[in-house]
Formats: sequence, structure tokens, C-alpha cells
Amino acid sequence: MSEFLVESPFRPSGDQPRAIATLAAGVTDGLRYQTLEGITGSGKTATIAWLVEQVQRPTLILEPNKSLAAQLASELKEMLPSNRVEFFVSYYDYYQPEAYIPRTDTFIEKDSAINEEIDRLRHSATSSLLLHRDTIVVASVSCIYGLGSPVEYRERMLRLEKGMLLDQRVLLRRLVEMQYNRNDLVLERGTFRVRGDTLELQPAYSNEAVRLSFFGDEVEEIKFFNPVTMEIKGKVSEFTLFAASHYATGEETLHRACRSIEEELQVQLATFESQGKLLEAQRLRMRTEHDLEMLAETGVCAGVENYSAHLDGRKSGERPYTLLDYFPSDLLVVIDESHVAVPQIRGQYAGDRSRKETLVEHGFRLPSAMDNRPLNFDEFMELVPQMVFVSATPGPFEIEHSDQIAEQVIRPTGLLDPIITVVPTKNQIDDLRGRLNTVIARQERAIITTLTKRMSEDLTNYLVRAGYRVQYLHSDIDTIQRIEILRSLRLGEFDILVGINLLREGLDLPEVSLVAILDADKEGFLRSRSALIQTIGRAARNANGEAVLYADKITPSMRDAISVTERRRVTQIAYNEERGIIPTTVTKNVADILGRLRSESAPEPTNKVHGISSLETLASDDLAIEIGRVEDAMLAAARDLRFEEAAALRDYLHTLQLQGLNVDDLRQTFDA
Amino acid sequence: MIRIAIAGGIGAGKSTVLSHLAEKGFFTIDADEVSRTLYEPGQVLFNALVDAFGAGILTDRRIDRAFLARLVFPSADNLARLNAVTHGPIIEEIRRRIEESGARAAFVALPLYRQHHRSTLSLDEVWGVLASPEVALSRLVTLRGMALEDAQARLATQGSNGERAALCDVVVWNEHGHSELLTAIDALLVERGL
Repeated sequence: MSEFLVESPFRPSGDQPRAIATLAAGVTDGLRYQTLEGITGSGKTATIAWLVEQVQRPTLILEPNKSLAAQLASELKEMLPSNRVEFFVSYYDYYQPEAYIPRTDTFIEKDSAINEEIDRLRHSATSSLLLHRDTIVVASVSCIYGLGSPVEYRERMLRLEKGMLLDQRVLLRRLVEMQYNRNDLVLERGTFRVRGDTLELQPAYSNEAVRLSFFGDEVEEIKFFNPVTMEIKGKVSEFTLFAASHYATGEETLHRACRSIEEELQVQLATFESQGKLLEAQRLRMRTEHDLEMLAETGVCAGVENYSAHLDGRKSGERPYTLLDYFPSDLLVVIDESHVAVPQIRGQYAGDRSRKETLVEHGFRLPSAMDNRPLNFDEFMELVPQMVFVSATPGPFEIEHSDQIAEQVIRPTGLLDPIITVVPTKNQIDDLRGRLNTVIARQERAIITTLTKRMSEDLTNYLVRAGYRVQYLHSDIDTIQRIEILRSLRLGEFDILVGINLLREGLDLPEVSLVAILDADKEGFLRSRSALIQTIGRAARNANGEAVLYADKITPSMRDAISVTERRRVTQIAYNEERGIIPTTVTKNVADILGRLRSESAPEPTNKVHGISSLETLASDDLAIEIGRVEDAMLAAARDLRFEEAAALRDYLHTLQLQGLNVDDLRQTFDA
Repeated sequence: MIRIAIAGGIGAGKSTVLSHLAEKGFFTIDADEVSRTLYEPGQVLFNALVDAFGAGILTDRRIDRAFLARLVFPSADNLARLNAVTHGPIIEEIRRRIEESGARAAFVALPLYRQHHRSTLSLDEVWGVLASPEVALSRLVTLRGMALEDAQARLATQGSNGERAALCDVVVWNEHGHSELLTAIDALLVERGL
């Protein structure tokens, strides 16, 4: 059996060896929760790879979004070239879940564009997990959503060996059961074709196709080939094929499922009728009967996941199977950027549930559709035997629950966390100008963060009039423009960047030596402990790095941020002194960073429900609901550090409140 | 009355000298001790600091000196802001105590001696107690139980011995243990007929 093996020109350095040893010992001793508190630039990814090598456990790494997951997966692949590094994220390039808005009688049908490549990678992840122990899966929160039963998936597995006897007709039936489609013209992912004694098929999880040559009923040869060029890639003596769908089921299971769906339908219809909900009953009957027919005939139907409870034979309320069930029981779960990811995991269940309740209530789905759902937080925690949280600013959950916290605060470059200066707001603009002049004279750059859009605009205008070269990075700027702006900042086409949220990816620029935070003492999500620590950290890529907090008071958040940053600085200075390291700014090639950013700008799944509705259309009841919704969305955005969005929602919330209603009244309306 | 300042960096041996002088019956004041007193809730510095920096500097309703240290050691600007608040009242309190004592000779230990203290405290002489950074480091770690990293950081923010010596009238090196240091101090006292 293969083992995890890191192949890297580097060895652990700085405080990596200690962090790896601590965490590995913790895993071996069976500690349930551990935290790696590591700053950006300290080599957290490498630490994870070395940790996995030490403990030899199949590992799931959860990232808060697709781009981070993709980046991490590619870095890990480089470090663990002989092992399986898989990628499991939602396969929707665009996704709008089905929903029903009773007030306006609008049913929004599920709308999604499935990304073929990502679908293939998902199948590749599950098949690797069943075949190889040395598997790491890098996943988004998609890994806590329902997936077909691993038992069925394993049962549908087909092992082909050279020399085995196999009736072709039996094989074809098996393939159809495994949700492979016969297509004698075009060979695509998830299809097969038969030409005389040759059967060609392309597994759902592979870019390569397989050709089986038969001699009578004997498998004579198994070859891999490129389905486009037809070039032969190699011969194998055995090969395991997995189903083309995570919901592929055997005939018997399907039969049983259809019967129980039918039963549930009757019960629900009776309920609706007794309540006089005839429209709902009619709606449900039509839809479910149609789906039953499709299931019986083809084994699948649109939205088959909504029947997962019946297909898996789960009781109402029982948790769905997820990717976690495809792992062996001694898996290790690493939650990266845990200060964002943990609240994200927590939030999935409630959002999904309220949407489904409406669908069920109005006859769009059977009640069992509610069992097709993400895991709730407790279920997730219970399923995972051992967990390692990774973050520069671990959240309250991690800190409270971790059995031990390993620190990693040293950068191989020797760069220090910035010096923090607290400056009173009186004459702050003069002070800021003085500091900007120093930075510009050194040919370095500055970033300034404000609390409001208005302040950003005013400040930008003021600085422009005063002769500075400034740009305002606001929320309406799209990814491509943002890249261009960052590029000109790096190239020195301007010196100062102003914005509300400066925590977005790509803002780790070595040229930036000054981070100015205005209104640092206005406690709130934009000036919370972790927001401050992360923003201050933006100046940690430059040897002259300094963060200036404009504040008349030191708030508890500021105090924490200052303490944490200073403690790290002290450790870093001591390490440098011991080894005679002089911190030098890394001169990263401008093109490199931007190239990376560009590839990260792949579209994220969008959810239109969170959009901002137009004001005119809101009656007062709706206004109350809208305010509640916006408030929730704002808090959720803030929790995820999507500050620009949060700030936009906050401003929108103010507009709503100005409509003559105050929030407290609304809350009461709401609760009543 | 003769007024003498004992200046020296952290870990140099100021307090050893000061307690030796106190044992000999001299009137002594430790500026650190004075500031600690004034930091107590209700005292003048407590109020001034909370006004200047906000409640964030408090832990259990007391001024968190460890946090203040973290705030001011790395940033010259922060230190200046803190000193602007604290220096006046501390110097004022020291003056008051010296005058009240009516003693023939008063010794003041000053961790951050500056030229202007000569006039503000009406000093007659400044004695510097100096130790090499290595010696100071080992003292901080072994005698005060500071973490090595913290001790290094603290020492790194202090001025050099050369700068310090230049401000003093007399320099005593504390490199070879207590008895040698105190013998040197006794000699200075004898020279001045104290």
C-alpha cells in the first residue's frame, strides 16, 4: 500500500518543526480538536502536508471557497506527487436553488450550469477514497451536503481483470445500472459504446477512456486511451470502475424507494386534502408521479437528490450521507481559514431548511425532501473524529474547544509583523499625510481603510486634490478591474489605495509598507479583533511595515489585535536575532501574482436570493421581512469577512429603515 | 540637600543599588514604584491614561501594564504618546516626595533618564549603572523569570550603553556580581562624604 510521502526541496524550518511535531503527537494521542494558529507567509500548507505524512491518515481539508481550495489542492499535489490529492467542490458554475415565494406566488426552478470538469473531479475523489488510503481531498463546504450512499456506490463498483470470464450482455446491464449510457456514436464521460468484440467506455471520473477487448466471453485486453486522439496510453491487467452517478442504485433498492415515495405521497395528499389545500395536492401529485415514472424507467429523475432519504432507506430526520462517509473511520479533517469556515459550516443547515419548508408546505416537494440537506453543525462535529483548525485568527469556537494550539508565527523570509501605532483622530489627516510622504519618498505604497463608502470617496478626493496619486477600490469594481488596479499599484503608477475591505485575496503586496486604519475604535464587524489583525497583517510583507490605527480610544478588539501582533513580532525578532536573519522584502514578480489571481477569478456560485431588491416594490409588511433578511445577510457577510458586501447591505439597511419604520418595531412585527 | 539619580537600563542593577542605599539609611525613590502607585485606580495617572487611551487598556479594572508595554515598546510614536501623559505627573510626584522627606541626601532610580530631568528634578549628579546586554539578558531571564524572547525584545528597544554613559556624570559597571558593584557605590559615597 502506498504511503503519504512529501517530496520537496525544502525541509521544515522556523517554528514549522515544532508545529508539525505538536499536531502529529496530538493526532496520534487521539486529541479531538487542535488548532494551528499560523500567520500568512509562515508555510501553513507545507505544515499540513508534513503533518499528513507524519500521521499517515486519509485527510479531508475544508476550504471556505473554491479558489482557495483550488490553490491549496495544486500546492499539495506538488508536495505529494505520488499520492492522491483530490478536489471536491460544488459542481455548479452557476446555481440558483429551487425556491418558492408565497407572497408573489413565484416558483423559482432550480437553475444550474454543471461544470463537467468539476463533476469528473468529484467522482475521482470518491473513487480514490474507496481504492487508496493515501488520499487527501480538498473540499469546499459542499462536502457536508448530501451525496449518494457509499454502500450503494461500493456495491456498484465493477472490477475488471484480464482473463476473467464475463458475459457481454451481463456487463452491458451492469453498466446501465451504474448509470453509464450507451452511445455508439460519440464517446463521452459517462458513456460506453460497443463495436463487435470491443467495448469502449469513459469513466465518469477520468479524462481517459478504457477499451476492453473480448475473446468470446473472456476479457482479453484492457487498454487506456485518449478519447479524442485515440492514442493508446497503456495496458493494465486489472481495473475498477465506479458508477457514473453518486445516486446510482440497484433495481431492488430502486423498487423499494419508489414504493415508499408512493406511500409518502398518499399520506401527504391526504393531509393537504384534509386541510382543503387542493391546489397544493394537485401540484404535488403531478410532480411526484412524473418523477416516479422517470425513476422507474431510467433510474434517475431531475432533482433525484430530493428523494435521497427513500433511496438510502433513511428514516425521517436521519442525516444524509456525505463525502465524509466515503472516508475510512480514522480520517483527519483540517478546516482551513477556520475563522471563516466554521461559521460557514454552521450556517448551511438553517438556510437550506427554511427554503425547503416553504417548498414542502406549498406542495412542490414531499416532506422527505427536507432530509436531503446539509449536515447540521452538531452532526458534522460528531462525524469527524479528529479535527485540526488552521487560521491566523482562530475564532471563539476553535479557541474554546481546542485541546492544544500550535503556533506558527515565523516567516522564512524573516519579515516581521508590522509595528502598530495608535494616533488620536485630532489632526489625523495631517498625520496621515506626513506618513504618506515618508512612504512615497521610500518608493513604497500605502493602503488606507475607511469605515464608510462616503469617507473613502471624500478621502480619495481630498488626497487627489492635494496632489497624491490615489485610487479608490470600491465594491462595484469587478475582479478584472481589481487586478488591473492592483497591478498599477504594484508598478508604482499610483501610490495609495483607499477602500473599505482590504482583506480580499491578492492584497498581499510586498510594496505596501503602510496600512492606515481610520476609525479603528468604532467597534463593529469592520473593526473586530480578527478584521483588525488581518488588516494589520497586510503590512507584513514589507521590511518597513507599519500599521497606524487612528483612534481616540483603545477598544477591546484593538487591544487584542495589538497584543497578538506584538507577541508575534517579539517571537519573530528573537528568531531572527538567534539566526542572524535580516528581514528583506520579497521582490515578487508583478506578473506572477497577477497570473495567479487571474486563474482564481473563476466565477463563484451565485445565489440570487441574496441580491438587493428594488425599493419601490416593497409594501410595509414586505419591508419588515426585507429588513430582517438584509440584516441576516449583512451579519453573515460580516462573519465571512466579505466586508464590502456587508457594508453595502448595511447602507441599504439604513435606507430601508428611513422608510418610516424602525428596526425594533419591525422585530416585534416579525416575532408576532 | 544633595539629589542623585541612579540611571540605567533594564536589568542593569538599579534596584540592587537602590536597596543597598536604603539599607544604609538613605532616602530612596524608585521611579518605577512611583509610577506603579500612580497607576492604581483613582490615582492621577489612572484617570489620565484611561482618558487618553480608553478602557481597552484595563484588565479587571486595573491598568494592564503588560499590555501597555506591548503597545509602546515597538512604536516610538506610541511611547511618545504615553510619555506625554505620564512623565509630568511622575516627575511631579517624585519632586513632592523628595521635598517632603527633608532628607540630607536623596537617591532616585530612573529607568529612562533624560537630560531634562537634571533641571526638572533639580539633580546634582547622575550615576549610571551599566551592564553589557548579555549580562542584562541573563539577569532578566534568571532573576525576573522573563521569557527569553520578551527579554530580547525589551533590551532591543533600549538605547546603547554608550548613549547612556554620555548622559551620566559617573558610570559604574555591573559585570562581576553584587559585591563589586556595591563596593564601587560605597566608594562613590565616601568620595562625596555621605
